[in-house]
Amino acid sequence: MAESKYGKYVLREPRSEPPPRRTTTAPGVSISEALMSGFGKIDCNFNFVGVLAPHVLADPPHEHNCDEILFFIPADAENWPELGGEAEVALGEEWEKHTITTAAVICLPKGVQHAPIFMKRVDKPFYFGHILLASSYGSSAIDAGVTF
Amino acid sequence: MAESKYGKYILKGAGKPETGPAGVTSAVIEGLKDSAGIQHRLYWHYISEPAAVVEEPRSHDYDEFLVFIGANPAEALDLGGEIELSIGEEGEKQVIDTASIVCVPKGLTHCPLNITKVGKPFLFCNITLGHE
Repeated sequence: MAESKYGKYVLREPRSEPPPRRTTTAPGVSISEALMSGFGKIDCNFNFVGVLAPHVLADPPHEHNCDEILFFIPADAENWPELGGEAEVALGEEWEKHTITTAAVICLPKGVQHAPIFMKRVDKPFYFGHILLASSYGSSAIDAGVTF
Repeated sequence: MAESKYGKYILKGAGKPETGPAGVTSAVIEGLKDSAGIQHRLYWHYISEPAAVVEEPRSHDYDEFLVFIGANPAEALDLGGEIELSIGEEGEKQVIDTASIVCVPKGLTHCPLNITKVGKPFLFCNITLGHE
């Protein structure tokens, strides 16, 4: 092709640098079946996640075939039981919304749908996590259309 | 909110945390021990000074996890302290100085548990899966 006049308008395989994102979480500790292989397993897996800034958790509404505990815990006891932020948790197929502003534990019997979970406000980073009474997280998802 | 169907599943922290040994502030979120049919108990200990947390060996018929994690959620894996924990009937000592989870299957003897160094505050959580 001779010199192109309009080729400049055609961007082939374009990739730009992703915009910088605010870090919303930081990893804590977590455990699952593989990590317990040294002694045989306990039917439980859990994680701790540092919540640093507002965001919505990626998990869509889902349920498990075993019981689960969710926890929201402040990072220090100075203003116990104030969480240092605000979360909104949808429970049930109705998405009944619950606001969490203090240390809290949510006990979800198997089959109770939960999420979205919206970390609405973070005044001071806090911990969030799940404790699932199964040896791995993926094995307990009921909704076959959702992969965890 | 009008009548709630699922509010019964949420246990909220209330009141003041307890002060145990110097340097240890402990909180447990009260609720039925088998809340919503789930037998569990979660304790949250905020550690600010060295302390003898549990002095005698113990074992029980439920599983337990001991979780040690930094008090800064942005750098949770940086513990900033040191713990000595005895495990087994022989009392084998384990020194923990990074964020860690200790798995205690039912029947395994564990403790004493001593916080030996605190460079900065950290969090000790025990997760018990069963009645006390």
